Amino acid sequence: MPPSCRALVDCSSSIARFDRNQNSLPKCQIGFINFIVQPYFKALHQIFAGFDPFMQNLVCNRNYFEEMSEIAQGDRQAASDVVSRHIVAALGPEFSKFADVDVPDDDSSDGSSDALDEVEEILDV
Amino acid sequence: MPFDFGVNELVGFAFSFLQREPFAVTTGLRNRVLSNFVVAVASGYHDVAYHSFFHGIDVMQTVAYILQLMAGDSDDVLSGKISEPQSSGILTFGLHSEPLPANVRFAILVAALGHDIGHPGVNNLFLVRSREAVARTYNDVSVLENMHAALLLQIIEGSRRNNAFPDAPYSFAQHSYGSFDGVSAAGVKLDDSSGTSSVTDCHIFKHIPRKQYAELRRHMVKAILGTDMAKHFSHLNALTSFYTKHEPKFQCRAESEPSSQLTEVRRDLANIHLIPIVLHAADISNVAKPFDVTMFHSVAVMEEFYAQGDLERERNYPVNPMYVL
Repeated sequence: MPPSCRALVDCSSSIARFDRNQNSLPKCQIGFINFIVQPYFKALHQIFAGFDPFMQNLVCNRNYFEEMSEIAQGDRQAASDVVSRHIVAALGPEFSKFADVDVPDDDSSDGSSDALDEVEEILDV
Repeated sequence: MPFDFGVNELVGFAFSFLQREPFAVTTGLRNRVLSNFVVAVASGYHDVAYHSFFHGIDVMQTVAYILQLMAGDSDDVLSGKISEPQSSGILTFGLHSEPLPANVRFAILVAALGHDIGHPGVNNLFLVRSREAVARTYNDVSVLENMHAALLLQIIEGSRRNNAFPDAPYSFAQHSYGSFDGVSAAGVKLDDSSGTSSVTDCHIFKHIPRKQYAELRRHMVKAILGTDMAKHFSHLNALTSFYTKHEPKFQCRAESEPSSQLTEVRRDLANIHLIPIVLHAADISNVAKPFDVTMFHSVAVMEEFYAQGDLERERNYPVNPMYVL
């Protein structure tokens, strides 16, 4: 499995996310933006006008963090799937729609699913 | 180093921030009481990497900013630039049957200031796993959030009924978490049961009618309990289902909507508990700030996570796949 993928997936697990021996800051923040903060502010923004400053900052910050972590697009897809499953597993199937994340389509989806299998094997999903 | 404020500066900021609030000005809240309160809240926070008094102030300020945005006030104090609303959002507090009352607004800001008071730097999961007394007191449900709310109300209402929970959370600050010495910092010095005369007056709502305070109290408790990350998706769910239901009305905003439809929108909006939703938004807004601010907070929050991770490794706690904060 690509190391970057491993690290992002690890963000969803308590121990690894909390491990100072891994330089996991950018990946954790990307995960936090993608799965928690961005959907939440988007929902607020849809109803109440004027959340543009937050929305713009979120996009900028995600780009910065992605630059920092140099996560490949394909790896992100695989890792996103796994983290989404964790959300569903932790909070119930009714939240599956919230676990859908906007990740651009990628041609290397075959490679991603290989990585996903590996991830699942390791995590015993 | 930016943001490197001493506790005195932070207390001064929080005080002058709340002092200017319409509620404080119009109801005659005494400066002495307000400053007692702010000092008590500041000393109730521990010196941990992230969930310190600084975080309380940061969230309070962000709540004020979000309320400003929601009220349709486009005077953008953060970025200094006014942007045209691009989305279909037309609903604001201004469309509400009445604008947010000054006393409710003040209560939200107070709740924001104290929403993480007494935070030990470890999360709910850790406290539950460790079978801490405080986790037992609250039956493992929103342990920290329950404690924050209780501590804040204890500061406001004084210490007379302190002995209701002799085991926790008030003895909690004395617990030691191994090498993480921030936790054993000074606790809340309010359970001075030796004499009521020495207790300082922090009751910032004493001068308003009791019934009104009871309502504000409910708002504050609800808001603080709503900061539990476990509630995140129910907040989000409330927002998205409201939007999905009324989206067609947003689409034809150019024409004036029939007032009956607007009444329905207003009614549904009133049924959403916006106060906890706003406080939660501010609580997770670190990564939605300008990048330097975001990085400052990121480093702090990761430092706190790492400190907990060290303790978890020490104690051989199992890997938990749950997405927790």
